[in-house]
Amino acid sequence: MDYANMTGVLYPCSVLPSPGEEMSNELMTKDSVNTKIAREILVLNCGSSSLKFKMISMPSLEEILGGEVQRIGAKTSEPSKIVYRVGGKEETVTKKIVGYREAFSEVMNLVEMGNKPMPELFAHRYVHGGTEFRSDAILSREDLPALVRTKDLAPVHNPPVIDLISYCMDEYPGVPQAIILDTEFHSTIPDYAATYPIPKEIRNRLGIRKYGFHGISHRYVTEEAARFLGIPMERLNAVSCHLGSGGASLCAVVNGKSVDNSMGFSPLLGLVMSTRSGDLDPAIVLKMIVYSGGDDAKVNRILNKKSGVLGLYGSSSDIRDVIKKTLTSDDDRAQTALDVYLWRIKKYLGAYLTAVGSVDAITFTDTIGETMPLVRETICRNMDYFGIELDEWKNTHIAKYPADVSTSDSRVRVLVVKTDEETAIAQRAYRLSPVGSELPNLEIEYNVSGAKE
Amino acid sequence: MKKLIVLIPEGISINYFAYQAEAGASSGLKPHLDIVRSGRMKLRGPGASFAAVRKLVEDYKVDTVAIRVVYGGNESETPLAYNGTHLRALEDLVRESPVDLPPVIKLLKNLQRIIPAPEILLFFETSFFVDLPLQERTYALGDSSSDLSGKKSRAYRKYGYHGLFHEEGLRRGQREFPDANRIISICLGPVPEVAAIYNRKPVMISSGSTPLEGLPGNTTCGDMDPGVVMLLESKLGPEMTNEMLSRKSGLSALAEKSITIEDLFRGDEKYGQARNLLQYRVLLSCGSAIAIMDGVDAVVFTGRYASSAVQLSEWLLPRLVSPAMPKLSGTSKNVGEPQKSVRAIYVHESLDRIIAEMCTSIPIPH
Repeated sequence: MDYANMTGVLYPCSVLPSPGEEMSNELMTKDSVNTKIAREILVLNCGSSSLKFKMISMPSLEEILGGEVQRIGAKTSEPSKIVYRVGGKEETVTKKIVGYREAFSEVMNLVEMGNKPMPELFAHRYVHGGTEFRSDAILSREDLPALVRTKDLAPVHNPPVIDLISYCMDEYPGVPQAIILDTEFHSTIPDYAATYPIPKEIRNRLGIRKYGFHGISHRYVTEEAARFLGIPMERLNAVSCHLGSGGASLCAVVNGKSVDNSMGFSPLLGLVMSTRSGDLDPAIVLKMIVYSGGDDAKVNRILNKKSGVLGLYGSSSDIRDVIKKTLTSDDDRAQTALDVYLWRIKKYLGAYLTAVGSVDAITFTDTIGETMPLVRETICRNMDYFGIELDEWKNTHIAKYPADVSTSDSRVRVLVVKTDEETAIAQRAYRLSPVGSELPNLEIEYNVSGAKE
Repeated sequence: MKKLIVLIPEGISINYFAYQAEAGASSGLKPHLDIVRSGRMKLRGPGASFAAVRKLVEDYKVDTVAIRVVYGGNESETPLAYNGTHLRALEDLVRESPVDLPPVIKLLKNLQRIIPAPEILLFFETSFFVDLPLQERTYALGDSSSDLSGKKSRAYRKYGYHGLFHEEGLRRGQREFPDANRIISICLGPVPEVAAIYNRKPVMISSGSTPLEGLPGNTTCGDMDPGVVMLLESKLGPEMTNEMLSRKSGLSALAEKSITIEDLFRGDEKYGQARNLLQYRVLLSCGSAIAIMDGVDAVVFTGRYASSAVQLSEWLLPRLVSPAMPKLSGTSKNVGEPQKSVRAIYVHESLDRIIAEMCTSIPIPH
């Protein structure tokens, strides 16, 4: 990547070393960096029906503005809304928002209306870089065609991000765009878990292997769990459950490294998601294509946007709506949707607990993992064989995160950890630069009781 | 003395096994069965080969013809005492099993012409799984997935495809360990399969709507990301993709030569990648089964390659041992010692013998 054209915006010339020149010691200290390279990164995290955003001052990690545009476009029981916070104060605006460009414009309105500094870098979460982008990158306009070639690898996530990057390049030509990949954490998945048993020639030609997703979140949450438990990351064995309101996946972690992920080559595989099918017999996919008269696009749309919770329940793609329905009425369809959703998670959890062996912790995170005690309780119920014992009271009375919701007798700690993909993305985007890569780790320390210091 | 013949259609062939059984098996004792003849008949040329099977049955003057049928839809009865009225129901299922059912239907039409007619029993592999729990058998698909052709068809669901082996595994498991209520049944065949059986009922199966889903087989791909299937189809078309995933994938694709599960466990390191992948996938399935049943009391190995089970179990079983102290139900009170091993049973009986034994030992409703 050619940084030369970026430095005028990203890094004031006065603090950048000349080519070949060693960086001055002054820059290596956190304080001096704080004073000389204050910069604002706007992190944009497109989910399958949401846009999370966070403007962060680096390297102090101070949040300037943050929030989420929720329920974009998707058919749900509630309208779209913008939940945002400035200076610790949270506001909600209900508004019909049909697309990601519109959602982004709303975010920029908040920046302008709040008299916040203009972002110096847009950092986008990018779900699937395929073989075109194997690691995080700062993009130039010339990279767009390569980015477009990865569009279909994650048909729910990649297209809106590509569109948004293109839009940002047009509207804010002076602001660099970084992509931070979800697939990087899973590069350590061993061959026996990553290989699809199809002919080698076609596997290699089309780059078919398990890439795994939600890596930014799985890594962040696992690091948080390691700090909370006082176990070095490189010795932590865990199963990380990232249960979002849109996408969801489980990750098996051995010695701090990802060794398996329930998603595969694409984010379609694995758990039942809001509109994605998850695991499916390959013969069904072929039958659907044949029965549709070869309409690949239609089948793609069905599997990505009309299946999962929406396909099972019919009235909403949000599992929270389904749970609410089962608690207030005898709705068979809602009950089946919930049962299938939870059953699949439990099966993957058992599979990964067995694969990992001696597990220190199970972590639950993201919208559903953090806020739905019923989900955690049902998944962890009757798991004595693995040494899992959930404390019902703790599970329903979480005061702060991370929270340990297991009993003191539980052999495996069950933790609820707030994911902060946006902070993780900002850190990694910042480290893309020669200056950022030299910075010390920006870690939050925990004391023995687990409270953040 | 009862004479019976077991017919197992397989691809373009029918394997046959002629047995003699001692009468009086209803006493509850295991029947004494002698195999008197076996072989394979190729189904080449329309009609003629099926007539040859009919002639074989006529010549042998059997009392019973037992036919193994891979797919029976939601037919829960096995064995099913066949009469002509069942034919229509089987024909209605051809769309769902276009490879396996047509030869069975042709066979039945030929056998119906035999006078005096022998008793015909159909042994469906799927019957054992008809009542799988709803949450296990349901795919997360909407109505739009099953009416793509313009007319609404039966919603996709999961079945199992080695129900007869798993039933035998259950019988053996309960005979040898009467306290075993949580059984993992591992069928090592050309398309291997793992089932979880809780209180005598299957509650989980690795296969899917077809045998293509699940564990990788000798040439079948096993679990596959739908995104990969769509990508392959866009490059190769549906027929070639189906051919590749069914006949050119699996363990043989990894080994880059035609192999079976038996080859994997003979210690040849050049098959290391295929062996590691299969072992890992079996382990994951067992882990899922344990989570659903909250434990495992015994693992039963069956199938054509059950001889390889000892090597597989040396790797697998230690990984299934509970890492926790056993607790008194509903309390945190420890009871007993930590588990040290998982019990295993190895069933080496062939499918034809299992079917023959069922013919002579299970009361058949007519």
